[in-house]
Amino acid sequence: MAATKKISAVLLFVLVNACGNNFPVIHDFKNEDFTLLNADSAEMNFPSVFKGKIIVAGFIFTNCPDICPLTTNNMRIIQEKLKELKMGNVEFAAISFDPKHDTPKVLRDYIRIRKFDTDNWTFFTGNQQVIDSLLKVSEVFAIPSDTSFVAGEEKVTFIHTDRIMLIDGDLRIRKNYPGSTINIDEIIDDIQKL
Amino acid sequence: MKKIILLIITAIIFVGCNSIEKKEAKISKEIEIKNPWIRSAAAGMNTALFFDLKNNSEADDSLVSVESDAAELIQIHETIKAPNGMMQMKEIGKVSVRKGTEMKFKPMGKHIMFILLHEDLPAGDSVEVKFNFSKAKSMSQKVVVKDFTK
Repeated sequence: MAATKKISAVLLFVLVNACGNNFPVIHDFKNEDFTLLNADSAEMNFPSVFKGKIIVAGFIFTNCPDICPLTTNNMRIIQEKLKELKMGNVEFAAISFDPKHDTPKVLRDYIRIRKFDTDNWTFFTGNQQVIDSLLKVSEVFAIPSDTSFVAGEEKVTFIHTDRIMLIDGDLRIRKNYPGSTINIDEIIDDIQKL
Repeated sequence: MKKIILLIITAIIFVGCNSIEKKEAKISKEIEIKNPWIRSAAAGMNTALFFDLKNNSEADDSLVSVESDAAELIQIHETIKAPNGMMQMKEIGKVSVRKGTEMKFKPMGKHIMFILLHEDLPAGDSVEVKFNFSKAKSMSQKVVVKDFTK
């Protein structure tokens, strides 16, 4: 009887652990690459540049005053927690869906003023068509809404998907989260399971 | 005689000033701006101001506008959820605050949008902000700049 209980417990343990990382594949980037620009204006192929590492990617525009700062703040907290856990196999990517405004210089200002840790965090901009293609396969929507000219400068706001996505080391999107309200413990747990 | 007149004048001035001070204090307490903070941002960018607005007066009131030298344009905005997990932001003309109630301007809700900042607003700095109401007297307040609240 005791042996049966032990076997059951072992089977349950194996089953739970086997299913633990069984996230569905939402999208496979295996045959796709998107040439983007980082904040130093250097070309990088996303996501293959991070192949072999887990990627936490968020979508933002720097003129966004409310939702996107919450998303980047959540990414900052995740980054800090993973560093505490000494998990060095994770890269962070913040991808702008407003490349017309978010030039590499604007991204540098954004990083500087908010003091983001760029050790393993890259901010991306790039060609609008390339960004749009990336958004499409990621099922992220960003539709320009209010456009105004302030002191001669065009200011565009967007209706946009609130998204952080988790990509595994084989470049597959495994889970999506609401960027501004993500459960930090949940994604940390998911990263540990991948 | 001169001394008496001088004493009376002094007393009148003292009582008068005191009542003005009390009146001003009463006016300023009709509306309270609590826990204000503005998110850090670089020159040329947009950012948002958050606070709690408490109406202690006997009448409903409205926040009609906000002024500051920190930005080219300042508007009252609200973030709202759109279908399919999308988010959007809209300008709202004014915000009513019923008597005896408190309204929170917070992330993912109502906020004051600072458009096209004139200078960098790094965390730790502060900006002077003037709040204008439909009934209560306008009030100016220094607002601290923060990166994040958590």
